[in-house]
Amino acid sequence: MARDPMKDILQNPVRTAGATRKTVDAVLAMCKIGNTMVSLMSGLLATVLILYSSYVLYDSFATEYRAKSSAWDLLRYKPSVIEPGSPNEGAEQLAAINGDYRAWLTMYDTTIDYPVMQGADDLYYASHDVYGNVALTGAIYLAAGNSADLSDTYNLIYGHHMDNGAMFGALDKYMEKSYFKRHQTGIIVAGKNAYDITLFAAVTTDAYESQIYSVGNRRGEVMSFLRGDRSNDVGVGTEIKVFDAEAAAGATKIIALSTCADAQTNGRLVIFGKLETHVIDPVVLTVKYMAGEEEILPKVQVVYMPGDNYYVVSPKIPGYEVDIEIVKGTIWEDKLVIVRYKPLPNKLIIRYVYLDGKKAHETYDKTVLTGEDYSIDSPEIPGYIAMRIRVAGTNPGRDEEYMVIYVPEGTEMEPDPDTPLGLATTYLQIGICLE
Amino acid sequence: MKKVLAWLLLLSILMLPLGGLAEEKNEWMEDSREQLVVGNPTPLRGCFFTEMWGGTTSDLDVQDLLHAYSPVVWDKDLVRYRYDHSVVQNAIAMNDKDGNRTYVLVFYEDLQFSNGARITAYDYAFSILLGMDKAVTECGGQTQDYSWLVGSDEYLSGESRVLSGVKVITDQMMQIQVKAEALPYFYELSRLDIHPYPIEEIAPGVVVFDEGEGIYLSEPLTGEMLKKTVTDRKTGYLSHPKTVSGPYTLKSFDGKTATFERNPKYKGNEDGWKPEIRTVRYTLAENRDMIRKLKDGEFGLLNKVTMGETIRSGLRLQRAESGYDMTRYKRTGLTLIRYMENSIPVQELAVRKAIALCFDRERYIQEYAGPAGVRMDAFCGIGQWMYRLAKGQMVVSGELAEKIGEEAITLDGVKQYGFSIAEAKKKLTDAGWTLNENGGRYEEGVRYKEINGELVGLKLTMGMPESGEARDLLERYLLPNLEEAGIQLALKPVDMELIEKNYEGKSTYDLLYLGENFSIYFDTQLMAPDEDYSGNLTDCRRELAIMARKMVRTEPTDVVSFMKKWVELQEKISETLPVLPVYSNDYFDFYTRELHQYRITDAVTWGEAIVRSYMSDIEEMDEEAQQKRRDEVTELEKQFDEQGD
Repeated sequence: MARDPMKDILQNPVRTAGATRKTVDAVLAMCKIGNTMVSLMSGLLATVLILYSSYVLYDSFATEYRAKSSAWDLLRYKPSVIEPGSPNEGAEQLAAINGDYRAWLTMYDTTIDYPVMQGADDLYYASHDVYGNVALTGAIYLAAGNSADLSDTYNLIYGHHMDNGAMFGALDKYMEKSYFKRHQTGIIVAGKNAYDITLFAAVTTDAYESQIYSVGNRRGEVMSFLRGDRSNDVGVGTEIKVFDAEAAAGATKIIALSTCADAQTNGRLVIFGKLETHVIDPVVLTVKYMAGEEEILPKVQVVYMPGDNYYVVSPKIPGYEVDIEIVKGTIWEDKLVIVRYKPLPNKLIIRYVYLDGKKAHETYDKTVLTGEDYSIDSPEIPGYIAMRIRVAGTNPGRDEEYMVIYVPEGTEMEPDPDTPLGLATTYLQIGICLE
Repeated sequence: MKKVLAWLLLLSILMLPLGGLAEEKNEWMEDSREQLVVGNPTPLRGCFFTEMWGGTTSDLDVQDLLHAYSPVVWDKDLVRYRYDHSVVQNAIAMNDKDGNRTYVLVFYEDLQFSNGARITAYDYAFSILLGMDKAVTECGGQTQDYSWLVGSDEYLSGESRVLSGVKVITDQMMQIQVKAEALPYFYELSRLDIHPYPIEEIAPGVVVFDEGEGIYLSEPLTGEMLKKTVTDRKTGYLSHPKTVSGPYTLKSFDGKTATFERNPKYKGNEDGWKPEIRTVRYTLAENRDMIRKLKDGEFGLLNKVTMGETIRSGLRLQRAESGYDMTRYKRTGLTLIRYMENSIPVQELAVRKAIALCFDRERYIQEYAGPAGVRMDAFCGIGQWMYRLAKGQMVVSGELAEKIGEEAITLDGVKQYGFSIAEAKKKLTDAGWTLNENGGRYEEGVRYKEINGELVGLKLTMGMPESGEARDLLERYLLPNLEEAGIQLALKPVDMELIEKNYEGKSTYDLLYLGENFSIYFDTQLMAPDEDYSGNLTDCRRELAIMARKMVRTEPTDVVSFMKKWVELQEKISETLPVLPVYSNDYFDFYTRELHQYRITDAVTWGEAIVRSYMSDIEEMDEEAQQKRRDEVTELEKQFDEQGD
C-alpha cells in the first residue's frame, strides 16, 4: 500500500521530518537556481533592450538634434536682409568655409531658415552637412542642374524630412490650406541678390515626376503642369493640395522646395513659390515715453532694416519707475512701443533741532510723490528763531530730509548763499592741473 | 510615468543649448551697450585722490568719477558756490561777537562709501585733518591751506591737541569755524569743498575724536604710513583707491589705462542721476589715429581734442557718417610759458619780453589748434567767466548790469606782445645784453651780459611735456627767431610728473612750457614767489601775490569789485610777465551717437557728464536737425580748411 508522505508527516511529524526536508530542500534549491537563471536572463534581456532602445532613442535624438543644433550654429552666418547689390558678409563667410554655398533660404515664421548648398550631383548634400561632413541630416541644397546664381526661371531645392520639423520637416504642414495661407512668404538671399518668395502651390507627387524634378528655364512647363495638364503623371501621381491662383499670377521666376513624404517610398511633398526681386523698405521703431496721458519725454524714432535687432534704452528720469527699461527685440515692420513712467513715492522728513543737535520739536514725516509740491511751516519755539520759517519745494525724485535749526534770538546770521547775483549762465571747470 | 520623466529629462537636455544660444545673444548685445572706452590725448598719471599730489587734467577728471559728496557745489547760474542739497540737509552760517563765522552742516544719513560703510561727519573731519597734516609733505604731497580755520595755528604748531575750529556734533552734524580775519573771501563756500575719504584705508587704526573741544586724531599720521597707504604706486590710495564715494569705483589701473565700474552704493547726484554705463575704460588717445579708432569702435568717446588736424579729421568723419557727434566747449585754462626764478637771465624783464616778442604765436596757434585756438595775452582761459564778462560775452542783468556798465570792465589795458624780432633785439641791447662769449662786442650768436662780475649768456633750456606735439612747431616759430635775436633755447621733453615737480618746486629749467586749467577759485599760490631767489621776477611775483590776495578778499556778492581787481591783476601780469600766455582754445569731444545724454560743457567734466549718459541705438534725426548739423559741420570745416591753407 502506497504511503502518503504528507499523511506520514502529519501523523508522525518528528519521524518523517528529516527525510522530507531533504527532498523539499533539493526542490527548493533547484527552483532557486532556475529562478536566478530566469532572473539573470530576463535582466540581461531587459538590459540589452534598454541599451538598444536607448541607442535608438539616442541615435534618433542625436540625428534630429544635429539637424537643429547645426541650424542654430549656422544662424550666425545668416545675412541680414540686404539692399540688392550691397555686400553680403554672411555669404562671404560661408563661401569661405564651403565654396558650394549658394544662398540663404528663409520661410518666415517657420523652422525653414537655412543656407542652401549645391553639389556636383543631387546625392552629395543628401548625406553631407554644410561643412562637408557626413551627416544623416544632410543639408538643404539646390538641384545640381540649376544655375548657381538662381538665374534659372525654375529652381528646385531639396531637404530631408526630419520628424522634429528640422530641415524640410515642416513641409507636410503646408499641405493644409490654413497653414499654407499663414506661412506663405519667405526670402532667399543669393550672393548680392535677394528674392521675395510667395508660395502659390503645395503638392504631393512622385520622386520620378520629371515635370517637377527637371530644372532649368522651365517655368512655363511647370506652371502648366501645376495648372492642370498632368495627363502623364507617373508613379503615385501628383495631387494638388493647395493652389493660390492669385499668388501665382505674374510669376516669371519660380522656386520649388521638395522633401520626402512619410507614407510612400517614392512619395514627395513639394511647395512652389513665385520669386520676385526683393525691395527693402526700412522700418521704423517709434518709442513713446508716457506718464499718465502725457508724453514725459520726446518720442524716439530709430530706423532699421527688417530683421535687425533693436536695443533702445529708456532714458532714466530720477524719481520715476519705468515699465520697460530696454526696448529690445527683432524688428520686421514698423513698430510702436509705449514706455510708461510712474512717479515714485519719496520720504519727506523734517527734523527740528537746536544748535547742539538736540530735538526741538516732533519730526515731520510724510510721503510725497516725485514732482509733488509741499509747504510745511516750521513750528514756533519761544526764545528761538527757526533758520527756515517754512520748508517748501517740489520733490526732486529722491528722499528729502531737512533739519530746521533753531538759534537763540539775536544771533547774527549770514544770508542764504542760494541767491542769484545777476550773472546769467556761466561755465567753469573745477580743478587746477597741468596738461 | 518613467517614460514621461525620461522625455522631460531629454527635453530639458535638448533645450539647454537653445537657452544658451539665446542667453549668449542677449549678453553680447548688452555688453556692447554697457561699456564705454574714453580716449584723451593727455596721459593719466594716477593721481586719483586729491590735488595734494597734483595730477594731469585727465587725473582730475577721474577724481570726479571716484569722489563725491562735497557739501558745496559750484552753481554756474549763481556764479558762486552753494550747498549741495543732496549731501547736506541743512546748512547755516552765523557770526559770533568776534566776527568769526561758524558754518553748521547737517549731512544726509544715506551717504555711503562703495564698501557700504556709512559716511558721517567724522569722515569729513578726517579729510580736513589729513589735508593739513605735515605727513602729506613727507610723502611728496602739498598740504592744503586751512590757515583760515579757527584754531589752525595752535593745532599746526602743536600748541593744541585739538583743532578747535571743527567740531563734530553728531554723526550727521558738524561745525566749521572761519577766522574773522580770513573774511571776506570771494569764493567763501569753496572752503567747505571737502570730500569724505575712508580713514581705514588711508590711516588704518587711526580714529577721529571730538570730545567737545574740537577734532583730533587718535594717533599722529606719519610720512611712512602715507607712503604705504597713499603713494605706493601699486597699492596706494592715490592711484589704486579701493573705497570711494563717487559714481564709479576703480577696477584697475596699469599706469596708462584705468577701468571703472559702477558704484552700486552711490546715492546719485543732486539731480538724482546715477551712472547707467556699467564699465568705463579711460586711456591715452594719440592724435595721429584717434579718429580712425573712433570709427573702428575702439573708442566710444574722445575727450578734449585740441589739435587742429585731428579736429579736421573728426569733422570729416561726422560729415561722412551719421553715427557720430561732437561737442565744442571752451577751455577754462591756457597753454603758457612760465619763466622760472632759478634762471638768472629770465629774472630780467627785458629777457622775458624779448622771448615774448620772438614767439610768432599767431602762426603757431593757427597750425596747432586752427580756428579753435585763441591767442591769449591775459593769464586766463576763454571759458572762465571773468574773461567772458570782460569780453562782453556774458548776459548780465539787473543791478550788476548797471554797475558793470558804469565801471567799463575790459581787458583793453592788458599789454600785448606782437611778433617782432627787431623790437626784441632792441630790448636786449637796451638791457645790456651786448657782449659775446669772450666779453667782446656782440655781433652774432648768443648774447652775453656781465651780471655780478660774471659773464652770463642767453643759453636757456625749456622743459616741455614729452607727449606734446608742439615741439615741431616751437622749433619753427620760436627757436629760430630767438636765435636771430641772440638767445639760444634748447627744448627738453620731460614726463608730466617731472614737469609738475619743476612747476611746483625748484626747477632745473629756465622756462617751462605747459598747459594749465584753472580751478573755480583763482589760486593766489600761483603767484607766490620763491623767497630763495631775488631779482625782478621774484619781486614781481611777490607783488602779484599781494594783488591776488587782495582780489579774493572781496565779499562773494561784490562781483564788480572783484572784477576790477582781476583786471588790474591781469594788466600787471602782462606788464611784468612772470608767465607768457600762449593760447586758450575750444575743446572738441567726438563720440558715437550711441552715447546718449552726454552733455559736457565748460563747467561739466566728462567724468560728471558720463553719470547721466547711456548707450542705446541711434535715433533718427528729423530733416531740420540733420540740415542744422550738416550746416554746422560744413561751416566748421570751412573755418578749419581756410586756416589750414
